Amino acid sequence: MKEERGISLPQLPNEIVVHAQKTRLDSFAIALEGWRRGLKLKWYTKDSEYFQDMIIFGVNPPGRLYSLSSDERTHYFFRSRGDKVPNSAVEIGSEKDDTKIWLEKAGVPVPRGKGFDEDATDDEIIEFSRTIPYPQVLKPTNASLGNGVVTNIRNEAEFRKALHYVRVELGYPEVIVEQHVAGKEYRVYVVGDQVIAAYNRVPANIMGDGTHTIEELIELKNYERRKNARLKSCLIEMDKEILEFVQEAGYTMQDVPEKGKLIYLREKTNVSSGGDPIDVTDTMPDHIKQIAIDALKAVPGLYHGGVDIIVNEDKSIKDPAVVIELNPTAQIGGALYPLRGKARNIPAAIIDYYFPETKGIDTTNSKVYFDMTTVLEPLENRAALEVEVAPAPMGEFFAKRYVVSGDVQRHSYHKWLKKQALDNDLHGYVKNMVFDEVEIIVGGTDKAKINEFKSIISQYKNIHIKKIKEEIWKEPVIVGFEIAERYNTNSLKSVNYALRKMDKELQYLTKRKNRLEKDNKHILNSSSWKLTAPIRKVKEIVVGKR
Amino acid sequence: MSRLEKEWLPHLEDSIPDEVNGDKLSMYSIALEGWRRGLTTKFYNTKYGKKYEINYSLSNKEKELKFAVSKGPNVSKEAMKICKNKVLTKEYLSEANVSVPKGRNFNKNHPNEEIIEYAKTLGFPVVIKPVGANLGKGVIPNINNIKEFKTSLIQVRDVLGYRDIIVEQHIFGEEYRVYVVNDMVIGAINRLPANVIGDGKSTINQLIRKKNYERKQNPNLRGRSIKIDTEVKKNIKQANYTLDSILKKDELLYLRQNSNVSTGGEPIDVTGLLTEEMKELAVNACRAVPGLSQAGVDILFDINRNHGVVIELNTRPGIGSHLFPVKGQARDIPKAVIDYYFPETIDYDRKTHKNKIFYDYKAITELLSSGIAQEVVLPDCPQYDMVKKRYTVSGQVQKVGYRRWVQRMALNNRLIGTVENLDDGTVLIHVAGKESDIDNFHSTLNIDKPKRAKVDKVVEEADNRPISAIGFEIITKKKEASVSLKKTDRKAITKYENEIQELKKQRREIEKKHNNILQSNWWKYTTKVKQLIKK
Repeated sequence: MKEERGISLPQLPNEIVVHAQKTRLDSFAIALEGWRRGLKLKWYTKDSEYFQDMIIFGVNPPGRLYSLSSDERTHYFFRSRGDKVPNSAVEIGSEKDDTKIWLEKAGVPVPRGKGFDEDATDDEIIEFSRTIPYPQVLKPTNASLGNGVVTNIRNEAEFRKALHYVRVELGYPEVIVEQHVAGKEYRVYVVGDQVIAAYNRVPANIMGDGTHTIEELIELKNYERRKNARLKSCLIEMDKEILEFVQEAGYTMQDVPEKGKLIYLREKTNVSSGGDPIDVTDTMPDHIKQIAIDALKAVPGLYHGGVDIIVNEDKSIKDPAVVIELNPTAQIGGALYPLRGKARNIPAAIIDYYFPETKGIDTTNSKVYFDMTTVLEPLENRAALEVEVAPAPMGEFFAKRYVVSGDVQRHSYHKWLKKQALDNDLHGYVKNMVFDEVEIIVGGTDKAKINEFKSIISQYKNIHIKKIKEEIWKEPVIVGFEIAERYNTNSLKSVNYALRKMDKELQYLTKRKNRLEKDNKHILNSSSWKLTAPIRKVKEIVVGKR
Repeated sequence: MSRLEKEWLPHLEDSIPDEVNGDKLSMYSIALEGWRRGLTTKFYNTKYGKKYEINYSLSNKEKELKFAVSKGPNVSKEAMKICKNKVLTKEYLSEANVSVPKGRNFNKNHPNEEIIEYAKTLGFPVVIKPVGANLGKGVIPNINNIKEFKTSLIQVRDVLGYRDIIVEQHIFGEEYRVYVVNDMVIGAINRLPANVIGDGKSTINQLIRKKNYERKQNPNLRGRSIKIDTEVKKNIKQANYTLDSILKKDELLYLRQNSNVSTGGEPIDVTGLLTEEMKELAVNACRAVPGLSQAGVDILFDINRNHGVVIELNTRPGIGSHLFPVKGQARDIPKAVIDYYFPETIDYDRKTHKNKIFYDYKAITELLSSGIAQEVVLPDCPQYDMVKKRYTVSGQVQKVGYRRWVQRMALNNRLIGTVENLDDGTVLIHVAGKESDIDNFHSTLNIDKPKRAKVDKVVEEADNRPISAIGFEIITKKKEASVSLKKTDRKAITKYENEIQELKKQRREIEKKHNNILQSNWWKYTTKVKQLIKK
């Protein structure tokens, strides 16, 4: 728990992705990278003509369909997949059965197994199951996110049970029977013939510390996940599955596991069901990476995407790893925000691939971004069909924070400031602070203009400025200029809105506060903490004397 | 001014959102006309020098045409340059034998004698105007002889100090703004200065207030009320009245000299009163300037002598006064503009498209004018007759994500409308769309719901309200609509703010404490101690 905010790329700190969760995060990160390189960025609703021929799914609410354009050409994207990947490749990738056929044809190692369509009888499937070694996996042919997958089937009786569960209870008649390859699972992201990121997908787990109960450890783990921009949207939820899993491992939720004891909570490795992404890009052996690259190459047109592989633990099997799945529309959040290791820049690799001419533009230090919620709002309620984001300011970006005191909280003044900022190509906001202060942030690529803005601030007639405090502003700045004041005192509507917003904020803060307080109490009340109290006292005295 | 004396366009009357007023009407209404005819409509930021302005384009499959205010792409750059410069305009008009007031400019180096000589050649009456003075300041009109001229000249140049002046023929007559598109006169207005008419009962102050109330009902005059300033007070005083005087019935009192709409002037449609000569004058003026396919032509016309002159050509005139005159009939400039640029859509039949659907001007322009978006494209305008319905849903339907869910269901069914929470705990839904889609939506409301909601009853009614903007909006405002901002509200806000600040502080402290504990060496020791104990 060293990192106060979790691991991230310097240009993608948590606060700028707060409005881009889950699959929107993929879109946002890639779109932002392209935009920061000077490409034109547009967002669309699913009604747009440009996506009529592209395989897309789950596109509501908007924030998953976008295009990037240079002067020469435009590329359309759905989440992390661009239009260079043809539909035929997407189709192959989304049918596990087809995937396997193509992989086998190209000599890429896959678990032994076979797919069955809905006409296949149970007997037929059981018959086949007898021909491959146990343990086995049974999975629906076209369910996503690990849904309905039954693993570690050790004998025929278990197989029959699983078959009934998947085909009848869950209602997935099309299934795949596969040899279960034991080993660690990895998600590898490949662009062209290069592995950009690889991370180990560890099922939801906790590590004992000899002090906390399993239940508390889960809470502590979630505390850590909350600091991570990707993982905070998929905390470990104590559901039936977890309770049963823990029980099966011989624990109760109230047990205190010894220090260093790793306890898994689920079978599923998906990040979205509580799994940990652990970056291994630098340590994964080349021959394993090559398998991932070959897997992608095996499908015609699949120029970039995610490859799920299991690295074999059983040395008696000749292949070092097997490919279990391809993801033409892979989520990339796990690589952008791993729990351990380094964040990997998949967005840059994708943009390099589609717009190689922009390769030289380094956005590592970029501080400017756009707000997803604001940009998507008219798309969200279909007031618009397309929105093009204002172009990113290109070049080195500077910003300053001015805190101005005086009778400066007037709406007309803020409107005027906004106009001055925009006319000078400056970005930022003006915000009311307590009583007679406003905070003004202005940023742009022209340093002189930012400094000159200090004198502009006091040029509005009829206001008295007592003091202007200035400082360099290093935080990210949103493109455009916002009047972020809590309310406009002349409008009842705005006041009511502000009141409701504050009410919400208050509730949220109270909740957060209570949660933290509870956490602290827990720790402070723990017997060992009490035991060490005298020692701490001594230290305090010693420190105090020094 | 009774409502009977004016006639507005039925397809526009209910289709102007509150945010669209005055100058904004031009872009709004022309884009609306194009959009309703099925053209793809796009709004975008353009930078003119230092300033950003929202422009728009309309396109069909073959072409995309760009517009600014009411001006389309057929008005050439050259034409704009000519019209911007009054001297150049006059040259072009004279060249084409279009009458203009004769006159010339004099700068500070010209001696008074030379100017007097020139005035003699013009013939009286003449007018002296200072160059660069605002709003008729220092203008001396109707100078009838040399003696008067000499005194006036000294007054303007030497006493008031305006050395650069224009000496011009004084033309009697009324001023008209004539809107010409493609050599055709589409509409003409003339403007009365701010005024009130007595009813024998009300004071001038009351009459002004009544007038301002009427102006609020007019999209073009909204936000352009008559302010009781020094000029207004002066005019009232000159008529020997005070603000509290009661005007006799039907007595007309002008409150200002100038007829600027923005300070209280009243546009009156006079298209039907134009003589052939007047129309010809306006059309010929446009013909005189190469590439001026549409313009607002300002003419001064003396009906008694059936003679007039052209004073000014405007390439980007506002059209709000033609659309919403205070008196007379509205003239459909947007129709004329779109007919001209997209002649293939002339057949667009307003009767079969009786939906008065419009677009969400506010959402779109706010995004652009905040510098967040560069361009916004509207969804296509539905080209079928719409059915309207309203639903009131009761049960546990507030604070359970019901409105979000309704929005999703409505959008899935291609419906437009709004959803809002009512104070009595119910949810009100307005929808418009194809009948089959509405039926579908209705049955969804009846059988489905978001997880946490509990629906008791869904009541369907016919809806007489005009169709709302395209899209499906969740209305989050409402509540205490008529209460004005009181001290208690301010207090509440301050209280909230303080509480939030306090909580933020507390949270920061607790968070710090928490991290300290987790990272402290003591924490590590305790685990060891714990193990020791276990052993």
